[in-house]
Amino acid sequence: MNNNFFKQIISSIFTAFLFSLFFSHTLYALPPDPVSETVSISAQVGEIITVTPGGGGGSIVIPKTAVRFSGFAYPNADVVLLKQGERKIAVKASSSGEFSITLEENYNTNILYSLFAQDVGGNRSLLLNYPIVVQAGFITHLSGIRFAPTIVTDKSQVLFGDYLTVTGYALPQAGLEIIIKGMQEKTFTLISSNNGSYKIVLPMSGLDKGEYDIYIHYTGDSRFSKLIKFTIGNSNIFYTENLSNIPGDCNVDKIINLVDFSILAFWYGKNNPPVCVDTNADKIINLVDFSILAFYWTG
Amino acid sequence: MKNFIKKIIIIVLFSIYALPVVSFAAEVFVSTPQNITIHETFEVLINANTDGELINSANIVLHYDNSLLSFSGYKNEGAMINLWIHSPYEKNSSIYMDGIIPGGVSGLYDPKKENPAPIPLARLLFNAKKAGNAEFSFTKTEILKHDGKGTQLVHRQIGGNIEVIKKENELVKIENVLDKEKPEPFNVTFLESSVSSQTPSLIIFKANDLGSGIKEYQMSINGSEWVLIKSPQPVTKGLLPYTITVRAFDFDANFQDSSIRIPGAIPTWVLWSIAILVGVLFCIIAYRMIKYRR
Repeated sequence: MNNNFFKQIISSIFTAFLFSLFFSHTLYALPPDPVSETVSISAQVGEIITVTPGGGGGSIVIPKTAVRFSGFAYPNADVVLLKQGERKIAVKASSSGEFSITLEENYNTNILYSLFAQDVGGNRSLLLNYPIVVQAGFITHLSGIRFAPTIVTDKSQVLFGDYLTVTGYALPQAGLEIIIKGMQEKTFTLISSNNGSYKIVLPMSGLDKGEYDIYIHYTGDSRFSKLIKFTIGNSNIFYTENLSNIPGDCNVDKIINLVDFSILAFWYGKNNPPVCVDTNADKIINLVDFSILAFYWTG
Repeated sequence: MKNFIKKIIIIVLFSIYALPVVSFAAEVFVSTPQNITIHETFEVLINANTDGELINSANIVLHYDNSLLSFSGYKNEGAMINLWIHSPYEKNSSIYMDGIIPGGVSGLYDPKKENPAPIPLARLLFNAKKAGNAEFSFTKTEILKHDGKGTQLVHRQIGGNIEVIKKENELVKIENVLDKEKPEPFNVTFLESSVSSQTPSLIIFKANDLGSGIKEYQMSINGSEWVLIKSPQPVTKGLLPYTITVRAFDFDANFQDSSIRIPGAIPTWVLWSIAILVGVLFCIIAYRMIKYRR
């Protein structure tokens, strides 16, 4: 054991450290955080309300406890707040898409709040969940919420080489990206109109026959819209009232709730499930199918 | 050359050591009180730190020491999984549970904390039977991302333990709080199968119990014997309508009933018409007989 050997060990460890750092960031670590909505939570002392008990005597001062949610949906959209899955309050967003909802509360350790927005065309966003620790005597404010744009397609199957029309609502004059993923991948960029609506006719040329997903998001935002499945095949199949594009919506009511969950639960672990139940078409009903149902949940 | 090989070996060994540390940022872990006394009921939280990822479903098997502890229920309040495919149940010293969080969650927002806190997935209740160190370990944790595809969340599992203390020579304050409240009122819904549907007619129900959670459901048809059932329960449509009563039991044997009338294959108006017709016929026959006797 001489000095050289120790030097060698130390230099090797240092090199290995640099080497591992390099590899951990290039091969194994999670990708860097994409730009996304920046939700921040804060609490301020609630307004003081005075309660005068019956039968005379002095008044009791109780600080008001509440939760407030604010952010951006779509112009004139209905924004609905649910508490533990139960609908509590709905407000209308402004013409710029801004909204703010306040719900009076009592102290609790943590409560699951959910929000969804419905654009003026009647299309609903995905559900956004925010479990919050509510503090008594404070107004807990969750700000910076931003719903991904809504998306609707005109066909469930597109004739090879034909066009798919995509419509929906977003914030006014916002940069958007539509992504088609499947056997090939394609991205289209567009800007929403002054009233937040968008409509784009996408050429399917260059895409092989097969199954694809299509979704939309704000440029640079990691939160994306509903995934809509479509096929490129030998004919066009347009959406009708009796055709749902929501996986797991067996009763075609365009709503995913306890009914659809129960039908899926009935088929859990059974052979030959119906096509509408098998959300990922792998002929097995397992937790993955429930996860897909939870993704499209409307309540 | 020798030095070069040595260097390479050290680099490779160090890299192998270092890499797994960075590949599991997410984790599922158990949190328990530090210690408890015998006969005390306590809460075990199953938490998920998802590293900012949205998740929406979980399938968990938690092993525990049943010589020291007994499973006494669960609480939905304050836990994020509130739609159970199988609500927490005990089998061979393990607690099995799977369920979903519609809409997905990535963390618990607390104004006192800068970053979202871990998600409390489930709140389990245990009762201490004997003194000793009781361990909790995960046999299975399947967590799926909220990405519309059910992608697995890569994570590590961290168990936990609790010290059950026997306090000698002093009066032990037993905090074994029994749940004396009935489960909350609930509804039973009938989902009628269509002719083309592969799924039979079902009844669905979901009761909630704040104290100890729902343990099981039983069903009685027209007041007959009670049988164990689960939601959804397939039901058949008879010729005549009948009543199903569903009884939801919590872990402390309190129960709540809810009933539903299942319509018969023969519509009610047809039954009424037949009854009226029979009544009219009976009257005619009776009138004729009276007239004949006179």
